[in-house]
Amino acid sequence: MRLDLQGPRTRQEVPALLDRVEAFLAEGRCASAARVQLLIAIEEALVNVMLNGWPGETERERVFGLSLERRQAEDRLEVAILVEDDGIAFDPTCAPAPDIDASIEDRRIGGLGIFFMHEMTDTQHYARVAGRNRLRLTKSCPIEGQHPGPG
Amino acid sequence: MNVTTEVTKRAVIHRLSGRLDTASSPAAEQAILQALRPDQSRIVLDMRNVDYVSSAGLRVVLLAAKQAKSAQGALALFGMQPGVREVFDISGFSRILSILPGEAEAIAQVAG
Repeated sequence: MRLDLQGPRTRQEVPALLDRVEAFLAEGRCASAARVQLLIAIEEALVNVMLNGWPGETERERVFGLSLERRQAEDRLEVAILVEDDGIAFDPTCAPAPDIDASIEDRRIGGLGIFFMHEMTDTQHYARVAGRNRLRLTKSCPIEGQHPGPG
Repeated sequence: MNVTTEVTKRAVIHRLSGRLDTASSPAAEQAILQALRPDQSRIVLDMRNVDYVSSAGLRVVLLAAKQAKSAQGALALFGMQPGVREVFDISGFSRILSILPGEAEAIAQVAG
């Protein structure tokens, strides 16, 4: 099963988009903890593109898409996410990790979004293809109501 | 996301509900920071009805904790759902913030 959506143009569009993603994952009986982790990873990936992809050019027509695929394999739900945009080239898989051991005073505000995207998914793959960023994330999720398998 | 604020003698309690995400975080930030004054820098966040926190939400919590601390106050959170707690754990925030099971403990933590 596949779901194709347009990326958000404003922060206010994000919740409705996440609602649609959540419904799609719930239809596939994705366990709730994994569902929340996927929503966080997707929010972080989309917001990163929305805020940084097109500096100073918010009005022009742009490519910004989100696709999800879900496939049941035995007792797991395999989810693949593709975020594609024609913003400035940026590889989030190479971004430095924040210092998660810093004190309150030293802790920087920001920098956590990309870190969450990594932590909440199993694989992250980036490519720059024909002037577009293509970020693919995957996660193997337990199915609701079944005992979680390995991993 | 809804924020209800209660000012008591011992602490300012913000009761949050819903998703603390990129869309709702600016309003939550405004509500929490607006209530922060030199004599009201002991902040408690009631997280019982928050079911989702992204990095945008953590940013608000960190900002509030930093400002409370610089005003000689403190911030504590209570009633976190397991999925939300996981976000605080992964980010390392659980180690630098006071996260308590209940309201009374959270108030005692900031009010001393």
